[in-house]
Amino acid sequence: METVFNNNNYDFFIYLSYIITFGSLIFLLIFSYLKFLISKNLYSTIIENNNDT
Amino acid sequence: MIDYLANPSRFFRITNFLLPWLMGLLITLTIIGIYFALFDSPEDLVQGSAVRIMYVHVPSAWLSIFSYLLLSICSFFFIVWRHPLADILSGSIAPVGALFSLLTLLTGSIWGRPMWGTWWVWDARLTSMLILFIFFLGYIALSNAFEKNERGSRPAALLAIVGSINLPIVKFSVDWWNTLHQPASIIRTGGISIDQSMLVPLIIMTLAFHTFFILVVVLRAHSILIERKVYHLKVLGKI
Repeated sequence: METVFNNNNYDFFIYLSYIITFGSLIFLLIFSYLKFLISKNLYSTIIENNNDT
Repeated sequence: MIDYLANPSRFFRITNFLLPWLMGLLITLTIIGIYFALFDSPEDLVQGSAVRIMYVHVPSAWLSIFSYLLLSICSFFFIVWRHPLADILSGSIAPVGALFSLLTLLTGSIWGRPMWGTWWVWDARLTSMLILFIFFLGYIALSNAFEKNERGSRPAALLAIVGSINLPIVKFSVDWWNTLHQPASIIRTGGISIDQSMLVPLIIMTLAFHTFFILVVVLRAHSILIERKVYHLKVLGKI
């Protein structure tokens, strides 16, 4: 326990937390954006051509 | 307002207008936030540089509670008024909220290792946050359990409302029980107890995370709205 508290080099923990956080946020953003683009194309090709909607 | 937004064409016009602004705001806030958090903010007297984990951990925790609150409100609207847009918003919020609660658990665990000497303890705050994450997963599983998504909406909404009882437990767990987790230092009755040099980066990161949340929820709501519209058209044999 002493070793843990006296070691002031926390870079590994800091960068690990930032990489996990921003990595997963970027993944979700790209995934959602791609889904958005696919649905947008779907809308323009199917729904806008349907007069009943 | 809800009826106004439920029209896909109108919703697209609004999202198309909002997206570049939200994207620009997100990139700006994230760059400034990371700069302040990693390079400009001071080290803590006790925790040293490990305090920098706070700038991703605390906004994630706030957003996971905020998104569950929104999920419960939308679910309530759906149960009472049965408005489809409330259900679509719930479906958009749940995965984002689940990710933020998972990030809260992971970054908290990474922060806990050097500070507490352990990755995990069955502490009141950590356990209640884990339960919040499980409620998010339960909502997602239940709402996707049926071939026709709308059939799962009602039981999922009920689960979300029941799960909201966990929100005050997450918030006040550090006051109600003796825990390893530190008590609240910003949203508390005695006022803010952290220094301004740490508060500023924390607020910038929180704004960046909230912008991310709004952006992804709008993108997801857009996709779900179209998926449902197409499904109904297929059922009616129009496409």
